[in-house]
Amino acid sequence: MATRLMTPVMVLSDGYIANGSEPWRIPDVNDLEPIPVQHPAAPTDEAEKFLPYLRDQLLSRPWALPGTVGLMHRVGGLEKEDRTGNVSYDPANHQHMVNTRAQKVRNVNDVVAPPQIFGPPQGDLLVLSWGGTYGACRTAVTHLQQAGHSVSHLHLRWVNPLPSDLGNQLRGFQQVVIPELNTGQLRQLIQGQLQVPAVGINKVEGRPFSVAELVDKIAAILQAREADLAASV
Amino acid sequence: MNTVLPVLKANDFGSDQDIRWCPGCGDYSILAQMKKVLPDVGIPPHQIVFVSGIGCSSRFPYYMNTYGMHTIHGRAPAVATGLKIANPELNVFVITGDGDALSIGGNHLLHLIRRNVDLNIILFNNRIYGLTKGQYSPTSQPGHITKSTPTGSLDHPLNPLSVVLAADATFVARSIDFNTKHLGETLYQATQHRGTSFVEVLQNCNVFNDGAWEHLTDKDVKDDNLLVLRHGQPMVYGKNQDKGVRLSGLSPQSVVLGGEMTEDQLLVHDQSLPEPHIAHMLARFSNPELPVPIGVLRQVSRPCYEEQVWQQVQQAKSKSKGDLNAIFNSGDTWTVA
Repeated sequence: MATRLMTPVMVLSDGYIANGSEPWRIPDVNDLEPIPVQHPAAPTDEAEKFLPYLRDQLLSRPWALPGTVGLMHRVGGLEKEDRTGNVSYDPANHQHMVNTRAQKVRNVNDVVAPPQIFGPPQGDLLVLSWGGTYGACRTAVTHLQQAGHSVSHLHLRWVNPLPSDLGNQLRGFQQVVIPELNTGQLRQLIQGQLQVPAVGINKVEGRPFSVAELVDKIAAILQAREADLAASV
Repeated sequence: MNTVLPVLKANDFGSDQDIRWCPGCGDYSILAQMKKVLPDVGIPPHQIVFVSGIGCSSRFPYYMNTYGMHTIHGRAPAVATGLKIANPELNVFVITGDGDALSIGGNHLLHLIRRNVDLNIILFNNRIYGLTKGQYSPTSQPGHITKSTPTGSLDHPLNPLSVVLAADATFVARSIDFNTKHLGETLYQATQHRGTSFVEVLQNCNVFNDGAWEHLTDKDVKDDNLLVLRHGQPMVYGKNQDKGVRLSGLSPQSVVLGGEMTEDQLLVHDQSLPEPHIAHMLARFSNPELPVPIGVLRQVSRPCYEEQVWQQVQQAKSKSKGDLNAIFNSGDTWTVA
């Protein structure tokens, strides 16, 4: 993603992923997807002006390697003119470039596959998770499904940008629950960006969630919900 | 058939961008000398990269028609190190200032220098934060009144040359923006050094710290305040070349030549001394007791970091074929029936 969209990519990890262990099927190197990288070549015509801020259909810029004849250009923190990459103090250009960069990040969704819901796409409750809580969340949801509850699970592998259709996926459920080993950062993003209300299951004890803990808490949320519904009838 | 190489001129290295330094800024002099020196160095623009941090000085890459990276405050050394390792063929310059290099980037600067990556650091020292409009910097003098030190700076200033010598810099020099000839020669010498070269350029910020180096640039007094170092030459200075520096015990001493005081009693500058003691001493010279030295304080040889990195890569490659499948299948593996 970093080379395809020419953007920094941050990998979020946690102590549980770093210290946990589980059996892995060893991949065959030949089956790994290649990461194609293209560098523009030196221009054949000397008069041809290299445009370091020209963008492809995903709004990604060319990656010209220092040392290539004729492609000298400057990158850096000052705003650049679209296409030419010259330093620009033009207000309209600044607006255009800010919009362009934001759209480029959203274009990640054109490249990565959307997340799939585990379980029915509609129901009473969806558990939304990310990172090292995957195992506990998936197993807890399986247990609840086996106990007859209408519960599904969605695990995010890409947090920013949020998947394009995530809002609709979440709205298929009466209740969204987000277990996180923090004070609710993803919940803030979901409520802020998608305006979908969500309940957090949060702790910061230096220990991961146990399956039983999640099953109990999610079951309690379902029970409270049913009680509310019964009271309102 | 021989290919005729184009003869490059100073203008071939300048970009067509508007320069946003204040009129009268010492940075113009450094830019002009850099453009003048590069044709003599004989490297085409596409093989040169200027890497900078943040500050007035760090706008420099935009004004060169080379590759340029205006990076993160204080972090140009890290970017430049990666760049040089990735492609040792490139000629890399780090452009920085007293704030960028010695405040937020102090740590990075030390590690670049101790590794002796083959690149050139030019530190523009104007003893002030210019871009942010006049706050005190790590080289501001005690008592200096600025916007962020309204009753005078309490901070003891850093001496850039002492700092880099402590990190075992292999090339250490100082020059002055006003002395364009000396500046050009010093920049050229820096480009010829293999390893990290460090040049402190005493630079006037005529808006926020005008005259910070006046005692070294005013034509009436500069010669009595400056010591122009020349390798192999006795340390003679003064308007009439009638003063010198000698060692009195372990301390340097300014003396007036004449009578029994002759040149052969003076220190003879040797920039190639393997131990940096004399360079350390020179770096501490300050007016009025001693003249401020300009020129090359130290130039010694030490292996370059990027060369050693590539040697390690070659050695590792000669020992193993680098079979990723074999690595994947090594260690604690088993087959599920």
